[in-house]
This record gives sequence, C-alpha cells and structure tokens, in this order.
Amino acid sequence: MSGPRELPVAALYRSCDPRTLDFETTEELPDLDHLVAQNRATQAIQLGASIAQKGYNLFVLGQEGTGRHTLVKQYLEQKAAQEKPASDWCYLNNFDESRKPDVIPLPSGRGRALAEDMAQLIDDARAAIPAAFESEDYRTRRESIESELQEEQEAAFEEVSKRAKERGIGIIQTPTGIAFAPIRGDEALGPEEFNQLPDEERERIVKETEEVGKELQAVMRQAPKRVREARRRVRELDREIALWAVGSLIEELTQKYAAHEPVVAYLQRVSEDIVGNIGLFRSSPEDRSPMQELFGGLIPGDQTRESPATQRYGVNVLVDHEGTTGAPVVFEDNPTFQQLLGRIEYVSQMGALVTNFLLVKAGALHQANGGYLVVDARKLLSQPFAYDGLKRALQSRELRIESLGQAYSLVSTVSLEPAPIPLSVKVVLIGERLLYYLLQSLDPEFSTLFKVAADFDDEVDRSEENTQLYARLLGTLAKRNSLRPLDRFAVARIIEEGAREAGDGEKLSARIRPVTDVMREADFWAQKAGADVIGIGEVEEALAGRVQRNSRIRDRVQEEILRETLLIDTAGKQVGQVNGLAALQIGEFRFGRPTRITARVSLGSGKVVDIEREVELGGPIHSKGVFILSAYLAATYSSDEPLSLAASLVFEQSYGGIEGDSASCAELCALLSALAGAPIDQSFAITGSVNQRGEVQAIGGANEKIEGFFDICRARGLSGSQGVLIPTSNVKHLMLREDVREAVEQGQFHVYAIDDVDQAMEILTGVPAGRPGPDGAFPEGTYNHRVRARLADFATKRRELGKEPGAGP
Amino acid sequence: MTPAIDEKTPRRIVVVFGGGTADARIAGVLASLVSRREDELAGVFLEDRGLFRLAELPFALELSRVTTTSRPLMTRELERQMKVQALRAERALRDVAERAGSAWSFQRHRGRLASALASLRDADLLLLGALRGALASSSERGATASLFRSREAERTRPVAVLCDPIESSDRALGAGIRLAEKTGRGLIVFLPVDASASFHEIQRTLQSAQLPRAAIRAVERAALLGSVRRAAPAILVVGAGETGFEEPRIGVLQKELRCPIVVVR
Repeated sequence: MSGPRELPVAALYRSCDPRTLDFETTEELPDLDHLVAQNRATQAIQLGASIAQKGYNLFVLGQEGTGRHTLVKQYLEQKAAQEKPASDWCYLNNFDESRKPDVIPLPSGRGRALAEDMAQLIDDARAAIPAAFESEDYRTRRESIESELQEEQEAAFEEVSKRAKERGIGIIQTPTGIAFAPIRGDEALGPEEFNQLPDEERERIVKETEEVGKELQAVMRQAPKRVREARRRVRELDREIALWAVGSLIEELTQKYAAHEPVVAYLQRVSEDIVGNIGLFRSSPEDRSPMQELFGGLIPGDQTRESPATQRYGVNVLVDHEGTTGAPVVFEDNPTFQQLLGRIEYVSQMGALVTNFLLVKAGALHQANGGYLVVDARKLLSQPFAYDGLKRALQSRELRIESLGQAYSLVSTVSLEPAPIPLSVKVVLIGERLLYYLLQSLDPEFSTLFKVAADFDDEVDRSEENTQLYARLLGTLAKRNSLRPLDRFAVARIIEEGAREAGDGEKLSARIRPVTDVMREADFWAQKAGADVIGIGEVEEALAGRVQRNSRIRDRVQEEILRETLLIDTAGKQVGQVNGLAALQIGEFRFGRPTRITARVSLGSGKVVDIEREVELGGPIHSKGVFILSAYLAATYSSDEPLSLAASLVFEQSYGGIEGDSASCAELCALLSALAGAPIDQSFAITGSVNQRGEVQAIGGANEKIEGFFDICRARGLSGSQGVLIPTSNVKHLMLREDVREAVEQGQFHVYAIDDVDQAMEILTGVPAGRPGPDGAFPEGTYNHRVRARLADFATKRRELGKEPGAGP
Repeated sequence: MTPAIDEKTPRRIVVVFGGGTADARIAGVLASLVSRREDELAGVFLEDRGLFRLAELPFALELSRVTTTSRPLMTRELERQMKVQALRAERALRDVAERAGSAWSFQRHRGRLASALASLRDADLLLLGALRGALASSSERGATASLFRSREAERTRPVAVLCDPIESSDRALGAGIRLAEKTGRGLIVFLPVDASASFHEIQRTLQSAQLPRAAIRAVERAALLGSVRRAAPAILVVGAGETGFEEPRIGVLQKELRCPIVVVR
C-alpha cells in the first residue's frame, strides 16, 4: 500500500490549453450540424425515424438542456424535407347522414383549391339557380301547371255549380266551409219562403240539395289528388331546371378533379342534392324569422353566418399543406387532448349549441399525419386524457375526433361523428429518464408504441477530438443565437467550465443550455465593453455573476460558521471529532459545507448508534454506511470476541435529512479517534465513503466540498496546515477554483488523496496506523494498537460484568 | 302625375274584413299603407245575412273546406264562428293601428257590401278582402288551387293597378307604387286601351319611382278583368269612381279576383 499523497496543483484542475485550439475566434469554425459525441442517441433517432412499422415511435430521453430538441428538430426537418408532402384532408357534408361527415384526402395544396372551387360553385349556383327559376321559360311552364290545375278545379266546380243552379241550388261560403241553398234569382231562399212552397217542391229542394252536396263533396275530394299531381310535376320541372342551372358548373369541376375519384363521387352527390334542395339557393333574408334574428346568436363574420347553401356544400379544409414542401414536422407545445386529437366546435343558435361539419377542427396529429409529431413527454402526461388519446390513435392508426364528453360517455347529446382519418405518423416524445422508466414499468402499452429509446448522454469524454468539436459547437451556438464570436481563450475557459459542470476533469457536460446561457451573459458584458469578440474576461464575468446571483444561501451558511453559530473548528485537535463535508444543491447551484461529526464510545453490546437514523433524519444509504463501520470495527479489531462497545455518531447542528455515504469515512475516523483516544487535527476536513475493508471510495461533489472548507479556512486566515482529504478515485474529478489552486501552490492549503482509512487517520491524528504482524497484533504506539487495546478492555470488562452476582447470562 | 299619396293630409282608411285567411293578408296590406299617426283606421267586419237565413233552413248542410265531411249548418255555431273571425280581424286592425300610433275603430256589419259602403262614404282609402258569403264566386272556386301556391310564388306576385280614365286613378297609381316599394313586389299597371292617352305619363311616373320591376299593360276593356286575373296580383289598387265606392264595380272585382283590393278615392 502506498502512503497518502498530497496532490500537486496540476492534479487539481485539468485546464484547456488555448494553444491547442487552432483558431483565433469561433467565427472561423465551420458550423457543427450534429451534437458532440451523442452517437448512441443520434443513431437511435435515425433508426426510429426510418422504420415505418407500427410502434416504432421514439422516446428521446436525457437531461434537460442536452440538445434533445435541437437534434430531433434538425434531423427530422432534414429527413422530412426529402420525403413526399402529406395529404390535405377535407371534411365534407354527408348528405345521407349529416351527423357523420365524410372525409377525403387530396394531394398537398389541393384541399384549399377544392374549397375555393366549391365556394365559387355555390356563388355561381346562387346566381344561376334563381335566374333559371325566374326565367320566362320556367315561370311559364310553372304557371301553366298551376293554371291547368286551376282550370281542372274550376271546370269540376263549375260543372257542379252549373248543375246545382239548374236545380235551383246555390253554393255559399261559410266561415269554415261551403253550404248549399235553394235560390231565387241571386238570393238564397229564406225559411219563410221555403215553408210557403208546396210539399213536393220542398221535398225536391231537400233532395236536390243533398245531391249537390254529394257531387261537390266528390269534386272537393278529388282536389288534393290534383294538387299532389301538380306538385309532382312542379318538382320534376324544378329538378330539370336546377340540373340545367348547375349541371355545367358541376361538370366543369368534375373534369378538373377527374383524377381524384372521391371528389368526383362527391360532386355527383352534390349535383343530386342541389336538385333536391334548390330552396337553399332561392331563399332570401325574408325567410329568417324574427325569432331567428333575435336569438340566432349569429355573429357577423362567424362561420355560421354562412348561407345555408355554404353550410351544406362548403368544404372544411381540415389540414392544408399548401405551400409546404416535404413531410410535415409538427412541434406541439400545448399537447392537450383537443390540441392533439382535434375538436368539434359549437355555436349558439336560438339558445342551443349547434355544430356542423364546418366546425370540425384539426389537432396536431392531423397536421403531422404523414410526417412527424414532436411532443414534450412531461407536458403530455400532465394534460388529462392526452396521453391516452395519443395512444388510442397510435394503436388504431386512425384519428377520430370526438369530444371528451363523448369519449368518456359524460354527455349524451347528439353531436358529430366525423369519419375517421387513417393515421400514419411518427411520434417523438422528449422527456426525462425518470419518465421513460416510469412509463416502461407502469404502462404495458408504452413499450409496444414507443419501441425506440434515444438516450442522450449527460456528459461526453473530454478527448482531443471532442474538445475541438465542442469549440465548433460553441461557435455554432454563438451564430444561431446571434452572439459575438468567442476567442480561443474564452472557448478554453468555457470548455473548462463544461468539465466543472460535468463534475469531472475528464468529461464535458452535454447540457448545452447552461453553456448557451453563459455565452449570452458573456455577450452582454462584451457588448457593454464595446468588444467585437467575447474574451475570457467576459466569460469569467458571466461565470462570477452566475455564482454571485445564486450563492445567497452558501454565503449565509458560511457567515454563520464564521460567527461560530455553526461550530466548525479549523485549528486545534479534538478526540472523536472530525470535519466532514456535505454538498448541497439549491436550484442549479451546488456548494460544499463543512459539518462537524462527533463520536462517543463506551462499554456496550457492540452497537454503533447512528443518531441521525434513530431520529429518522438519516436516509437508508447513510445508515448503510454506518452499518459498514460496525462491520469494519468487528472484523479489524475484534474478530475473536464480541464487539463490546456502545458508540454513537452524530452530525452536529444538522437539522435536516442526511443522505448518502460520503461521510462514512469521516464517521469512521471520528469513531477510531474516540476509541484510540487520538485527537484529530481540526485543520483538516475529510470526505469519502468507506467499505468493510477500510478502503476509501469515490463520492460526488468533490470540488464543491473542497471549496466549501477552503472558504471557511481562508476567511479565518489560512494557517498553512489546513487541507482536505479526498478519495484517490476522486482526483480525476477535480476542477477546483483558481483561488484554491493558488493557495495550494503557495503551500497554504493542501489536498490529499487517500486510499484507505489508515492513511486518513495518520494524516488526521499524526499517529502511525500500524500494520498487523504475523500474529495479527498491531505494533505498539500505533493508533490501531490503541483501538484494539481499548476494545479488548471493553470486552474484558463486559465479561467481568457478566460474572458478577445477579448479572444476566 | 300626382305623387303617390298625399303624405300630409290625414286620411281615413276603411278596411272591410270578410273572415278567413284573406283578413290576415289585408291587414298586411294595411300595414304597408299606414305609417302616420294622423291616419284614422276604421274596420268593418261584414257578416252575410244570407248565411243566417240559410242556417235557419232545417236541411242546411255544410261541407268542411278541409276534410270535405258534411255537417248540419247551425245558426248558433255560425254566430260563434263569425264572432271568432271578427275578433281576429279586430286584433289584426288594432295591431296595425298601435304600431302606427293611429286612431282606430271597429264594427260588425250584418248585410251586404253595398249597405256597408253606403255608411263609409267619407273614406279616402278602402281596403277589401276577398269576398265571402253570397254565392260562391270564381275566387272561391280557385281557393283549392291556391293551396298549391308556394311561398316563393306568393312572394313574386305583383301589385296591380287598374288605371281607369277617372280622376282618382293617379292617386291609385301612387298608392300602388308605394305598396310595391314597401312590399318589394313588382308593379303592373293595367291600362284600358280607351285610356291609353295617359300611357306616357304613367311611364314617366314609373321611371321616376325607380321600381326594380314595373310594367304597363294596355288591354281591351272587355279582356281587362281576365288579364288582371291571369297576372295573379297580390294586391289590386283601383281608383274610386266619380260617385265614390260603387258597389257594382267593386263587387265584380271582388268576385272575380282572389286578392285584397285597395280602392283610392
């Protein structure tokens, strides 16, 4: 085993040498059209976007800010541009069942043309039909039918009337009908005159009156038949005239759309329907009742203001791709159920909500049909029913527009059931890893519908090649965001900050957004300084500004330590007391905070009490670390006899939850110090987890933790002996601040890399650890010897206590 | 020619109702003519005495106009029906008068049209519905045919003016123009050939009125009534004779036509 190693300045920071960047400013660099080292995700996106089979939709997962949206957008737009344009979709009236509008696809851009053609046809028909029906030809033929009917009626009536008159019977109107009376000249015979007539004459009159009544009754009963026949003839005439009026208009359109069978079929239906509904083209505003005017709820400019003819023969261009090239790529920022799947709108008429096929509105899936739809997974899942609706559409591969009320049987009013539209779309969900894994484990359908996962790395290797690509990425971002170019020193500094962001000197953070934000802020400072290029000074200013804006809580904590409200010693020696280091994350800002850890020991049954756990402030990983300590003590010092100590460990002045095992090495040191009676130098702080063999293992946030202790020491005045102990395996992660590095270089602060707890104890106590001899005994004068002796003493005392009268077994 | 109707002089307008759907139509015509508070409206509901005499006959029967079933004609029932129709006519008149803010009166008159007209000699305008009662005329004979007419056909029926060579004809033409304007209908002026001297003057009047559809038809006097009938006007406007509202002339028009008649003094 090698001894502890004090780290040289060079090990504390992996700088980026601007000389390795062969450009002056990023303006010279070609744009980067892909992300740096995201090959796995890129290939997954390419695969998912290219497989046309059902279920090959994509879930792009990764940390926010890693360029997922950019890459997806860039790739899909490039790919879609090479593909054929998607169809337009139009809803049309279903003349057989208006509740179920028909839908037809048309080549891109033809939907609007059809709508315009139909509007023109309606306009033309509105002029042509009334003109045809006002023509002399029509009027004459219609009037001749009316006249013929009238003549027939009159002839029949006249015949009866004539016969009645010959019999001395007249026909008289009453308020509700027709009566018959004996007449003398032009006057009806009164009762007195009638009674004066001879009996035979009276009998004759009564009989004749009855007969005339019957004859007239027969004539009147024929009247409805004659009227019906005349109506039929007028209908035929109307049909003939209407066909003549619109025939040429329809024929013209039929020829224009001859290549589109559904349109031709529709035009045929329109032709037949117009003939049966010519009234729509002949109606005038007079036909609107006062009630309609009053309660119509018809707003000028509103669609429902359309004439009845437009409402019947108009075209609802649901999806219009006119002017677009390639397949559609739709980014839906507000993926509600209706925004995704479309909706049916209603208008108020006569106090009731009504709708028609013109009020069917497209959703994002309609717009993306034949192309790609990109949706943020978190937004999708936070919208009620949206995810279910999307899955239903993808499973059935068709789009049905229905209201939520209908879909979930919450309302039972009559509404539209538009014909479903075949769906062929590639859906790309972009979300965090947690969402992806949750969906995979909780939703069995998810895996069948989103078969391809594109996993974005959070960080990439800081290789020479990637460093150069990163520089190009910065140049591209600067151009894309209209920022000043960066000089190579600024680029080098941002690359270093990328490594710091990754928490690893050998990696670069893949999160582009924070880098872009730094560039934007640096650009602001450059603008303020009147510079044409962003230099390292502006980058430093931007970085310092970000820390300054976010460090309020860190500063308050440090202030309380310096005011000795929070007790942290940075000098002197204490038994059973060590400075541990914790990392705190507040929003995007992470900082380290020293924490006093103490241990007390006494005779006991071998139990190490983790006070944090006892009061339920310690998390399970923290508790695991403490149990490991017990195992280490037992195995190292007391393998032949029961561990007979009672120990307690506590994070002093810690009032929140503690999680993680990064303090387990510090806890072990405190415990060993207490057992050995070896005071620990408070000039040091230590971080690292420990295993059962006493080996020190890597932890997270090493940079911030070192800096947290350094800030306190510096504030109190650097003594030259202060420093921090970190696991050797964390050395590669170091990207320490410049002020820390300067202090180390001047010998005022020290960073040690340790491999095991013995190395830590030697530094902390100044007492040699000692290695066991062949007999397993530690040399005298070593702290290990003292620990074993103390534990042996506890064991002896425990045994003696067990022999005393009244003691238990 | 004299302008449409003298808008300044208060007018007394008499409306003769005869019951049935024609009353609603004549009320519509009345509404088109009345627009001034100063106009005074007098309604007369004409009850045919002959009908009551008929109802007293023990064998009197009536055929329903709608169902064609026969039923006894009873005096009491007849009285009640007349009363209902008179009330309806009175209500229609009152509505028109109240909208215009005009004074109005209403009375029932049992007798013949001539006797009713005799008491209305001071009227400026006389509106007559289709005749009912007396012996059924050709207007009644055509009643079933009218069931056939569509709303649209009804709307396109013109206003007709019969321009006899009498002094009141110019006022009748003015009233006709006004009615055509108000109702949006076309106007046909029937001119007996013996009065064709006024053709150009009528033409000028129509041109200055700028009606979208207006025509003059010169017709032999013998064929005049038939021509008017064939034109199937919605309203016929005639001038009153030198002696006022001569019942024989108006009676003939009423019997032969199926439209309200406006007689202008």
